Amino acid sequence: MKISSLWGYLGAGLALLVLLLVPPLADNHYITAVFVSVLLFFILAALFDFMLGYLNIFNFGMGGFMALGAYTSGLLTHHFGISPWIGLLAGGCSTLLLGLFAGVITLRLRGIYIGLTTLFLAEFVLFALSNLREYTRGAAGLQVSTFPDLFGISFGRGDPLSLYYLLFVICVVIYASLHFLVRSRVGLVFKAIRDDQLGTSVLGFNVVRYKLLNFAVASFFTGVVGAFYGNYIGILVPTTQEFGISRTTEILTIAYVGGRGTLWGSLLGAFALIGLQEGFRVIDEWRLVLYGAFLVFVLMVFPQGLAGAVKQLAGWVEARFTGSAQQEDPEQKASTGPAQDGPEVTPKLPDRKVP
Amino acid sequence: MPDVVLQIEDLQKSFGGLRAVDHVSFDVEGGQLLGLIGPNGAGKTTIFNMISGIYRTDAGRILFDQTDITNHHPTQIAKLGVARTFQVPRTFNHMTVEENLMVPVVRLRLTDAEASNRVAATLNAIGLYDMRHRNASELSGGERQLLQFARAMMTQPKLMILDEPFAGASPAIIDVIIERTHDMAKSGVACLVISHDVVSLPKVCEHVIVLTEGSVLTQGRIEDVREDARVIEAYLGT
Repeated sequence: MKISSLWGYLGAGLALLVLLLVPPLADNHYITAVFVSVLLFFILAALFDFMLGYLNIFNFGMGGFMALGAYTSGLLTHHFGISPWIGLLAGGCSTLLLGLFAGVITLRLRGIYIGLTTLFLAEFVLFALSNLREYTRGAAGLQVSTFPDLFGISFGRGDPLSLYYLLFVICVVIYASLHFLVRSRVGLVFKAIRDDQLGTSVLGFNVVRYKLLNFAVASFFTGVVGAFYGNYIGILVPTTQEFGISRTTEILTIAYVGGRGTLWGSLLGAFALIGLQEGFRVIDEWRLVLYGAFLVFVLMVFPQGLAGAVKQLAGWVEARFTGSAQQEDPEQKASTGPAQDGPEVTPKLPDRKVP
Repeated sequence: MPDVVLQIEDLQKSFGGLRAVDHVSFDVEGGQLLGLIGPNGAGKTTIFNMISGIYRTDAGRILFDQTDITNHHPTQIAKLGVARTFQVPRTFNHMTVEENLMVPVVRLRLTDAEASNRVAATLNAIGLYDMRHRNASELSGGERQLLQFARAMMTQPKLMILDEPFAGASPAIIDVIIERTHDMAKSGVACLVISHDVVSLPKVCEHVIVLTEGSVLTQGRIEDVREDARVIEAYLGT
């Protein structure tokens, strides 16, 4: 086994241990709330990365998609008494439909046009939620009921640990699905489209269909997370701070600081940025200055994000132990921007080998 | 008589006031190796882009295997069996050489073992097996030409259109491309080749079509065309 793979397993194991054990051992509502934030931002950033890092789809409307998921679940419970458990799926389905609609009208476009269109759609959702007061109660806020007990476990807001573990399960399911997709043949086509859309098209792949698949999957899961979030916070208000561009910017920042095109880098980004914010509360507003400086530092020193830094470290260790230089990870290189032409060397054709 | 794979009928294309392709017609038969030559701006790549669906035609028809593919989407045309390469290689630069060749295999719905074997065999056939784990962006321009050529081969096409396949390639790589092109032709694949390489092109094609200012100037055996005063004038402007 390669040492870098070993590092990967060790890192994943450590992350799981920390996520599973720290909140119950700390037995502190504040610590649990911080871990809920970490998981929420991790999975939202991973979903953002799934679109941006693997297909160059800039979804600037993540906040609005979350809002639709949250409100779908909340409204179904509030007006029709439908269980929030079903609301989780319903939230996902409503954002899936929004995602499909957004996809059909935007995914033939590229770059900033997709970003702008998704942002406008998200703003439309927020305006609609604000103005449909008789249903959503607008700025007065919509009360969202708690998850009913399941298998004898209480998921009320007085049991934050149960809600945390519920979110943990949701995150595991979503992350495993994304991981499976990007490692599959479909993921290979995603990466080909990211590298060269026309080059993939002339190989016979329907680029728009693959983009739509990616966008639909990400939209569905964003809705599920939104539905959970609504139940977690208990009251929904369609503000831009909660579900607008500022929320999307937070998600985007965590995805970039974590490392584009990795998925798992988002967990590092979430721990680092939320940890920084919470850990430096003692210095009040100065922590925001520190936060900004940290962002600039990471993106200047580690343009491939914290995941890139970890991979560099793993490569260095592997080189020390095996005496061989680590091969650069193509997915990581992709995260830094457009391709650089390789060195013009005289090729030496190797002897033919039987594979 | 061999089957005609590609029929170009009275093809026309203008960009603003410039007529890039002007009433061009020709046929390509299965297993034929046909060159498309002409000075810069003659319309060669424009014709390729219309065949592969990247450009829409203004008029005329393109028939592939008796099917009208005029103005079809590049994806549909590729699915019918038309593969192409580009003058500037369009490799997937953030993926490894092996992954570049795995991409077309996705559409063939092979098992993992079959896919791996096919990719390995192709890598051996083009001499890039030892570089399979390298990032495509780390390859030289010639190696990338070879890689996109192999990627097009992997789609198992009936028609291969090669746009300047020897551009930036070393003699060793050019020899591999020529050898593999002949192999494909022997198996019945029609190949249409644009090249400015007067040394390498005759090693691939016996017949060429000469284009100038968007029109067919002449066509025939490469040795005859070379001596044609009109061709010399088109190239040298004398």
